[in-house]
Amino acid sequence: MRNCQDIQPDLSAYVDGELAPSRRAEIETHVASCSRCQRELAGLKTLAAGVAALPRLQPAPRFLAEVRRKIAQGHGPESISWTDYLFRPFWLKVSLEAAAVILIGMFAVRFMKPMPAGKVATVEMAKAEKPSDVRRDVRLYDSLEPPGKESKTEPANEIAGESRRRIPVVAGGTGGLTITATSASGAAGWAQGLGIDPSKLHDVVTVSAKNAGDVMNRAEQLVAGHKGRVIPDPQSKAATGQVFFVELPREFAAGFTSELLQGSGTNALAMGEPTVSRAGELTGSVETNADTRFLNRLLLNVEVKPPSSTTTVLEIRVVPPAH
Amino acid sequence: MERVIQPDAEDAASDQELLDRCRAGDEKAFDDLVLRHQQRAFNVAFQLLRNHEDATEVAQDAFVRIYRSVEGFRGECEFTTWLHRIVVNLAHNKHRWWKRRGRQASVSLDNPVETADGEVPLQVAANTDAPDVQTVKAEFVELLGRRMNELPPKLREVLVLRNVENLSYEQIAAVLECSIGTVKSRIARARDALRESLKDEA
Repeated sequence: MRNCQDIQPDLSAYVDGELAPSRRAEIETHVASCSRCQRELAGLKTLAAGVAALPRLQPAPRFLAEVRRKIAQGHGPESISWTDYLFRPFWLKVSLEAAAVILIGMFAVRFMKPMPAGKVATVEMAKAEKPSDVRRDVRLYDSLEPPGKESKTEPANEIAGESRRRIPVVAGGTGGLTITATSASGAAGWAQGLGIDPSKLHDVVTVSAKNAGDVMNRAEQLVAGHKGRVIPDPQSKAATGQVFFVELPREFAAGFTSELLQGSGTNALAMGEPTVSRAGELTGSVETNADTRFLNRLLLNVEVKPPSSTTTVLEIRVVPPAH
Repeated sequence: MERVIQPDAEDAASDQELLDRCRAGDEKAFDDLVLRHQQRAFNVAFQLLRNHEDATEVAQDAFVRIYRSVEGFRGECEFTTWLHRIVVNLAHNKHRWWKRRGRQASVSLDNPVETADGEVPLQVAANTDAPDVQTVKAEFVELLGRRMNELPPKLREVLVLRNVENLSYEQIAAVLECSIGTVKSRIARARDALRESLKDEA
């Protein structure tokens, strides 16, 4: 004997005559002895009969004529337009959409607002260098500023994130000569005026020497054997130091730098210890020199970037020896 | 009062034959199909929407759609199944269309409104095939009509197809393109919901 819970879910289908004969028999057996299910069944039958008794209405006599008119006019069944999807129901959709726009706007303002230019430079400097290094670097650069070059262009470069990267490198020689090799992007615009491709301008070699002419002659001798050339800066004057450029195959740059400094016979710049505390922004310094590469790895903990072109340009700055 | 247009018993042309003639360009065959099934289409639409104008529009649009798609119809199902399917879908769209505008389309059967043509639709006999129809009181039917209107469209349409159109579960499943099990459970749920609603009234 089945119980009511087993029977009742199928009573609706029983009323519709949609059950298999065996199931139908089970239900009839149960209902015959269950007053509750009898009431349930009677209610369902009344309901089905009530729906079936809903009044029918006759379509309008011009129904066919209207169908024909719609066909002739190319009328299509009404569909839900995109405006319905966007704006209906109005109060709900519009308030949700307004909230979404405000959220997206806040998000955009928060994450897409460009930082003030000064801030970029400050962050960059703070991250890259100790304050003492920054001061020393700027002082040195100022002393090397070529005549005629506006000193105010340097801050502009710094703001653009092109602050000079200077790394002292100990070169060979008993004189304890110190050079500074600096990425020379600050001088890019200046060099361009001399017909030098700024993208090749990588390093600045600062030489301490009494006679700038000797240094330039020495450089000319050295590059002659390496298919290089010396590009003098006509505006450079001895009062603040001589500046010239050397273009030569990249692989000879390190050897050239080393030989130039050894041969110049000058005193070292009193730069203090050649310690390096900054994380490496050295781009394309004396890359082919195995010792320097090792030094770079050791001190800077950087991977030296591969050369991007076959020749490189060194900016040579000759400054009077410190007393 | 009864002006139900039924196909004549001796009318040899089946729906399929009329469709074949429509495809061959016989406009008269299409008119015959409309005249034969307009009441069915209008009634289903009316029971689903409870609004004369909307029901007329949906039923007419269903025939427009059939006229335009007759080329693609290859008799995968009965013509009436196809017609019911289109009417149910269009009524569904119309219902959503009104819902988005915050209106529940409803017109009392006691006061049939004039149509756009200025004509009052005529009430005709109910489906007398259903059991015990004669024993149901008019007030109960009127109340039931209102309560039907409150059912979710998916529950309302299975009840209409079952008890108004007198379709089997298998035919309903074909119209709604769902399983027979789904039809069975939806009908049971619809009846439960209706009975609950009527209990409140009592």
